[in-house]
This record gives sequence, structure tokens and C-alpha cells, in this order.
Amino acid sequence: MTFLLIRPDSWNFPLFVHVAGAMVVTAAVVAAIGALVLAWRATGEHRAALTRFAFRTLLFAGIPAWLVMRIGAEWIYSKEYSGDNDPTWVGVGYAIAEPSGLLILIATILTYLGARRLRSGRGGGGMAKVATVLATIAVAFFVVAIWAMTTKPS
Amino acid sequence: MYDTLLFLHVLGAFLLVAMLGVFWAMYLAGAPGWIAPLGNLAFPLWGLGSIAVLVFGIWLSFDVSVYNVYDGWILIAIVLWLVQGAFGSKLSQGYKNVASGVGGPPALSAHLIASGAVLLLLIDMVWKPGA
Repeated sequence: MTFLLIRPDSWNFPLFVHVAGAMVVTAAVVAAIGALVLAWRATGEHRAALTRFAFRTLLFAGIPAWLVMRIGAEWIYSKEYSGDNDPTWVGVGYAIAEPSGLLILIATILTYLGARRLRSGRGGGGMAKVATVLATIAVAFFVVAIWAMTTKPS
Repeated sequence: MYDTLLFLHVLGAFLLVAMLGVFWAMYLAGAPGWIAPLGNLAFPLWGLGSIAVLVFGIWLSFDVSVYNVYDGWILIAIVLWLVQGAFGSKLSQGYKNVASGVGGPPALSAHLIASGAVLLLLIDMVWKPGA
């Protein structure tokens, strides 16, 4: 067991950047989902305000934090692996990282369009609902990633 | 066992940070009425994440032979957990009150101290000073 718990000091900062970014992107997406779910039940100006809130949360916190998480991941990967001996859990991380980023990006665009339409009274609630589903799938991906990073299946 | 405990410990930490993110988002939005119901969600989930971090963290310290609950970095973590717990409970209770229409959002200082303690917790967990 001990070998799993020891790593070179030079890996600590990249690992910190990766984990901190992952935590913030999760927080931002969860906050956006909360606002979007509230928007489903809201009406009028409140609905538009909640959707705009979700859009801003994804744009100003979610996407930048995803980038920090991804840069941290590549940084720690470059220190830990050479590219030809990747264990399964690293593959799981790669398989999840880009799709989750794409989901967040699409959800951000949809909340922007939805908020604009809601503000002008031309609908837009459907877009916000699709964004909610996409963001929720992204969070499910994050949980799988956390499982892979902590249990490290070979 | 180690893998499961670590997964639950880290999952709890993510939940805790996610709820801090909700608190910050509500604060930065000015906690208007349309966002206030989020306080009802964040209150129990922050508690769940907070408890999971502590319980599974201490369990890990017993499960892993090279760690002891009285190691310096673990004691530091427990102190930081208490700080984030004290100020995080102020936040969660404060936003629950906002959701109930009683009072305004908690002070900026409570957000900063709770978040600072969690940031230091993460640093402590990664660097494990003295381990």
C-alpha cells in the first residue's frame, strides 16, 4: 500500500492545479444546474435572470476552471507518464476530459441563447432545459473521473 | 477498502467545494429572491460533504498503516476542517435563512474564511507536510 501514497515533491503543484481546477469546475457546473432547475419552475423575468445567472457562472467560472483542470492534468501526466505506458485510469480521465469540456461549452452557448430569448419574450426555456441535461451529464462524468482518479483501476 | 474510502473522502470534498461554489455564486449575485431557493439545496449538501470529508478522512488514517490520526498534517487538516465547518455552517444557515426570506446574505468575510480554510485543506492534503 505504501507505494501508492508516496510521490515526488515535484508532482505536488501540478496535482494541486489539476485537483483545484476540477473542484472549481464541478462547483461552477453544480451552481449553474441549480439555477437552471430553478428556472424550469420560474416565470417571466425571474426565469430569464436565473438562466442568465447560469450562463455567467458557466462562462466566468466553469470554462476557465475546466481549462485549469485540463492544463493541470497534462502537466502532471507529463511528469508521471511517458505516453506509452498509460494505465487504464489515465485513459478514463482522457476519455472524460474532452467530452465534459464540450458539454460545458455547449451548455454555456445554450444558456446564453436561452437567456437572450427569455429576456426578449421569445421562448428559450427549451434551450435552457437541454443545457441543464448536458451540464448534469458533465457532472456525472466528473463523478466517474473522481472514481477513476482515486481507485486507479489498472 | 483504501480505494473506496479515498473515493468517498474525495467525493465528499468535491461536494463540499461545490456547495461553497453555490454560496459564492449566490453572494456575487446579491442573493436576490429568484436565486434564494438554492440555499435550501446547499444547506444539507454542504453538511453531507463536510461530514463525509471528516469521517472518511479519519477512517483512512486508521486504514493506512503509514498514517496516524495524530500526524502533524492530519492534525492540521482537522483544525482547518473545524474552521471551514464553523464558517461554512454560518454560510449554509445564512443562505437557508435567505431562502426562507429571513435576513440577508452572510458576510463576505465568512465566505473568504471558509474558502481559505478549504484551499489550505487541499494544499495540506496534496503536500502532506511532515508525512
